[in-house]
Amino acid sequence: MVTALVVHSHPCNPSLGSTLRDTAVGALGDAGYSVDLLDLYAEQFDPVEPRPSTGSTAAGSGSDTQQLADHIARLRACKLLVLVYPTWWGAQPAMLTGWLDRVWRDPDAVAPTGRLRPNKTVFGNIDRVVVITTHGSPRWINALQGESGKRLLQRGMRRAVGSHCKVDWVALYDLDHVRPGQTDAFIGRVREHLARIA
Amino acid sequence: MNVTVISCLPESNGFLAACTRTVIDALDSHHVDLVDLVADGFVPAMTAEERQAYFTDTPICDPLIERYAEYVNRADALVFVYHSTWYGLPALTKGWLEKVMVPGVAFGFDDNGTIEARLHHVRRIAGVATHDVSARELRSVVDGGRRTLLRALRVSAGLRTRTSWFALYNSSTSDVRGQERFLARLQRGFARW
Repeated sequence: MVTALVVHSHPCNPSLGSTLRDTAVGALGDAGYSVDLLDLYAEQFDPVEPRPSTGSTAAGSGSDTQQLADHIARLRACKLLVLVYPTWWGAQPAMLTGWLDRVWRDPDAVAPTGRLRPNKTVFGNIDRVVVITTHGSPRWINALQGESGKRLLQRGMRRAVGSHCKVDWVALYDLDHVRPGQTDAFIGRVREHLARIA
Repeated sequence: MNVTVISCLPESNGFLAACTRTVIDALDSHHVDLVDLVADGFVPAMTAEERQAYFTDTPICDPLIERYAEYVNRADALVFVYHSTWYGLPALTKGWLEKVMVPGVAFGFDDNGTIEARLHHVRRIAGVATHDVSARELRSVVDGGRRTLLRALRVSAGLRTRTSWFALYNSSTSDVRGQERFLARLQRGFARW
């Protein structure tokens, strides 16, 4: 059975984010995937490297390292990666930004940079990434703002998964002026997209 | 001018601390409010309570964020100092934007629900960024921090707001002379303000 890893970042439950997460999990399950859900808020993931000088992290740092290793193992075990998050200020929310910073790095690189290098696929097992995200502002404002979140995933993530990997962008814009039925249509689009690629 | 300097300084990064000091020293004829995200113990991830408050009349529910919003409200200029690991802003700086640049501070909604910019009082936005990667590699992916600060945030400030950007590439392998040249560039750039 092929594994799909769903990474979710939204503080509120219920929310449109949690509905999209549940939709993705359901659609992938129906399509025959074994679904692994990684909910960053539920896991109380720390988007910032624990500070060495604060005594309180001394006990926590062991479990923190363990959590990072667990996330890396789960990324290595999946073929399909689905990211579900709201776009804030044109990019990934701080929680997901911190997750990319801390988990998506080259484990063999010399500390402390651990940066991803081209031609070195850290997660070459992943052949498809699907990004499901919502934007408060309309598409033209996002274009004006430079869409750094979209490029970050479409180009930056490809360095770690290999250039064979497709990154799908399934996005809802202008959520601040959403018309009735529009979110339902988007939920339907997410479900169809995931069913189609399976 | 009132200048707010938003600095993301991991303890291990002494060079970035030197950059922040250089910027503040160069701005000595101005009033500087320093946001030291690590030292202040700022928590970047938006909580459920904060997200629920976001669209209410009181989107800020934390005294530290309240203080940051006061800095921004009186700021004539914003300066961001950070080190980039994943082509964009670090989580702390990104979280600061999400929590401080809320409705009523960075933007508002008029009676028709149309978004309107509220940062017209910010006349300058500047960034000081160090990157592990080369300029070429960064451009081939995206200079996410620069786009977010000079484009996304500038939409809230307006086209009359001037922007400046200081970047050091390949910072983990840059030698002392390269670092000194960069600090001298910061000194010259900010002393002109």
